[in-house]
Amino acid sequence: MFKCILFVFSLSFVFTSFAHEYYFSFAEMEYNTTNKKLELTLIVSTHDIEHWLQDKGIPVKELEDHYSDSLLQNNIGETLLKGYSVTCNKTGVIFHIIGYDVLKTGVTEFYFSSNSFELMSPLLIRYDLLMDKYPAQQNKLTFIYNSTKESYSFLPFKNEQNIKIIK
Amino acid sequence: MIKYLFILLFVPFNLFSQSKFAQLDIELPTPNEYRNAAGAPGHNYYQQKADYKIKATINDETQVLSGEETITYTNNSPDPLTYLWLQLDQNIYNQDSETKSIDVEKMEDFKTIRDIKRKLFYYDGGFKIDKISSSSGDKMNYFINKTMMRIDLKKPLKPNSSISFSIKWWYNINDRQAVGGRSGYEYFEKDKNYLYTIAQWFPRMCVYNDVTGWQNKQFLGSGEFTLPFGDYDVSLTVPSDHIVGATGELQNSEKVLSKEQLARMKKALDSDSPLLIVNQSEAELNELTHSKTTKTWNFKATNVRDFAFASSRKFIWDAQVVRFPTKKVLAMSFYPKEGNPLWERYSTKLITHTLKTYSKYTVDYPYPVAISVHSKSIGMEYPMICFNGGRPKENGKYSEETKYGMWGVVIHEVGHNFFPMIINSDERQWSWMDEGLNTFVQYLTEQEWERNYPSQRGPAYLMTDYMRGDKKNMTPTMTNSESILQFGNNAYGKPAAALNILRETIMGRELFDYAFKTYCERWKFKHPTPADFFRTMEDASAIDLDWFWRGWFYTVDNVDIAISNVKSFNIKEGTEIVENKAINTKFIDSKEYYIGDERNRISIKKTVNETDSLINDEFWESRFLKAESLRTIDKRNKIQYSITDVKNTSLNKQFYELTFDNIGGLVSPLIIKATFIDSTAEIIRIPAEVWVKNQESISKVFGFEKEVISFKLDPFLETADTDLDNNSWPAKKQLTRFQLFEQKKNKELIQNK
Repeated sequence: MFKCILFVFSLSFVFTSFAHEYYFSFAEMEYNTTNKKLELTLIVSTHDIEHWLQDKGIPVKELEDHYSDSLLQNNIGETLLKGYSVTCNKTGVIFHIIGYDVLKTGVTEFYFSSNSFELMSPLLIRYDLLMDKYPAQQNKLTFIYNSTKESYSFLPFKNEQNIKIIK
Repeated sequence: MIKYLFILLFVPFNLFSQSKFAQLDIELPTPNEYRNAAGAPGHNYYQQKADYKIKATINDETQVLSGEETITYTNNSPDPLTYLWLQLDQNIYNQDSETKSIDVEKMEDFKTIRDIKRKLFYYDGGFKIDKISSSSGDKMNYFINKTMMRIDLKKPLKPNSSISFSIKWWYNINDRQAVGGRSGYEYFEKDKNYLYTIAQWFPRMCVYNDVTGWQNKQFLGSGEFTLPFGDYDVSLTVPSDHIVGATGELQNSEKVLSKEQLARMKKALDSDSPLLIVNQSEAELNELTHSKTTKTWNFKATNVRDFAFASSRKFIWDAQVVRFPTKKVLAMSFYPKEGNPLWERYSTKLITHTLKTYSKYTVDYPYPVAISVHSKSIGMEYPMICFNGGRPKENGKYSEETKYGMWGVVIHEVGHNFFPMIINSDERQWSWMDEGLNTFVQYLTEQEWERNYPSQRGPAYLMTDYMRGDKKNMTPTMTNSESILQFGNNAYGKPAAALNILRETIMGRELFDYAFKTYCERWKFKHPTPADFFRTMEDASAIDLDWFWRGWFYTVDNVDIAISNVKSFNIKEGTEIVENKAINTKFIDSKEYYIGDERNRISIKKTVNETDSLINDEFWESRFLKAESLRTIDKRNKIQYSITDVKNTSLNKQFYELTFDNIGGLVSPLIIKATFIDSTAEIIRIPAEVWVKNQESISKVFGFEKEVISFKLDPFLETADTDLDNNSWPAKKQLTRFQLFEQKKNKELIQNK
């Protein structure tokens, strides 16, 4: 059975849903020590995110039709960030979307940049993107800082992770 | 004391058995008369047979499917059977369904009216069994255990004997848009018509075999079906304006088709391109008729493990012949007008290409027909027929994403004819045995359809995000279907990547293809297990792959090998230790490409779209131009290798000791690119067994006549190495996706100025 499968109703009903191929999103986030900004890419299944955005009331049928609509892009960015947040030393980090790419392999990459800030512990990441719609959703973050990479998993029952910053 | 002795004796053994290179003696079942040590069916291999005669009716007013079936079950096992088990998969929709009751929920699932409606949606699903009787008409005792039903036999069914019995049943067909499901109906509000894609629709015999006895896993939703082979004779009564596509060959075409349709069908039987049997305007007229009379379509299928069908008055129908050396197969597509223009343009051609390519790598397609049916948001496979999504917008336009989605799903689902419909593994136990193997051949098929096809899965490098780092929520591929976390990556993507690594890197294409085909030939129309696959691949290639199966299928380890240190030694100048510090590069020096793509460029003489220009649409031109520019880069790299791709074994002047650390845990071959001061390069390939004595860190010394300016591990992205930042000397940080996007944007800005 394949991927496009059933996105409509009730993906919270395991008994009605297919064994969906996706339910996974990835994030790649690096702290740029030169401009002191976080550079974030969210990588999600295009079908999943299109249906999720429609559920949130965003008028998007197919993402690749909306590259030039900057207003809609901002709207998409703000909506996506409801499923991804970073708190540094108890202060929320502000991100803004700078673009997205619909890849032919079935995933879309969304690119975000943050305001400048001094990176320090504790760095709290909440990454529950799509988990409100797809209970089997797992998300994985690769965090890059000072040339080291660490990866962190996020699940519906554990959607936050603390990252210790070692300078 | 005895206890301590035991520990002393066995601890070293256990430690040894934990070695990444230990044989899979404990993990695999002992070979026996049914399945031998070579991975082939044993001399006493047996399998059961279940033949069906079914009469069923769709009530288009009430969406009820009712039927009566006679099953003739033949016990080829050496065991007498006192009861029979059948699958009642529709019972997943029962209100007391176990699947529903084990669904984990939280209050957030009920936060909107829409959510509540979904959660409280009532649908009276599941089989209603009217009666079960023996061939003499006597009632038979039965017990329904959720999605399975036991029929008690008055006398044990002896080896090499058969029993016939009848079951009368009905059920409410599910609305796939409301309830979901692998089968059901799609309703079209505009013309008030139904499109039925019907499967798991009759009580089916469970498998009984030497591995599990009776298949005893309930249908919970993820693990699909395990079914015995048999012959089917099925009569389907539907509204007389419906068109029906089904498993098997239509027996009474003169009764259900018009003269015009019969004539077109005759032409299609010898046409190498799709011909319409029912065209769009005829289908649109059909949409209006809503006939109250019925017709009965009769199909027969031999040696299949299941039967499915599709029925609608909305169907457009096209067909073409697929020629094999010894036979002809009819490829057919059934689709509503909502599927056009994609479906009339591609579906049947995709079936044709898929049958040809899979037959090359596995077994010759044995059945007389292969069908692709379009319905919205679906992708599901049955013998000879599959149901596929991929729908254009209402205005008839479609995006590239939709097109590739449709191409991929048709290839994948038609490909399932081979895994598991012919090579009939137990899907309820092991999803990877059909999904993983199928995804692998799907990748090969896509690459032969269009050059540089953007396959979703297959190449090793596409699995690195999934396999990297935190393992807390991952399961090995050798996990039962219902317990798998991350179904798609685990059961489809990872095994497909693993097979590509075997093919491209560890075994080589020739050995791999021979062994893979041997497995398919050995187990066609039989029930293979993982051990049969693992053993055959080794047996037919003379390569001990236990370490590979252990790492890739039994663990969640990943490949992350680092060049941690480089020492150079010159006879004149002595030893120099060179530190490997990361250099933050802003630009990639040359484009990395996957070794499979490079080899395909030579091995695939012409893709389908290079011989049939009708495949190419408005999106193709821009992709073609991009591909051309990539080819220029590749040519340049190829020239570099061809000058120096010779190993120098004597009179070396410059020696390099490279230390490799295994960070990810999976042992892997080392592929090293040494680039010399004159910009030429050499590729060195070292088998994974280099890790046999030390699986954490090893060193190797290489001698060259020229000074090396850089080393790079996995230069062709073929091992699924999850961190490329530690693969180079001098260390070179890969650009993040964000940086690549910014680079692309800047490039576009410069070009637009």
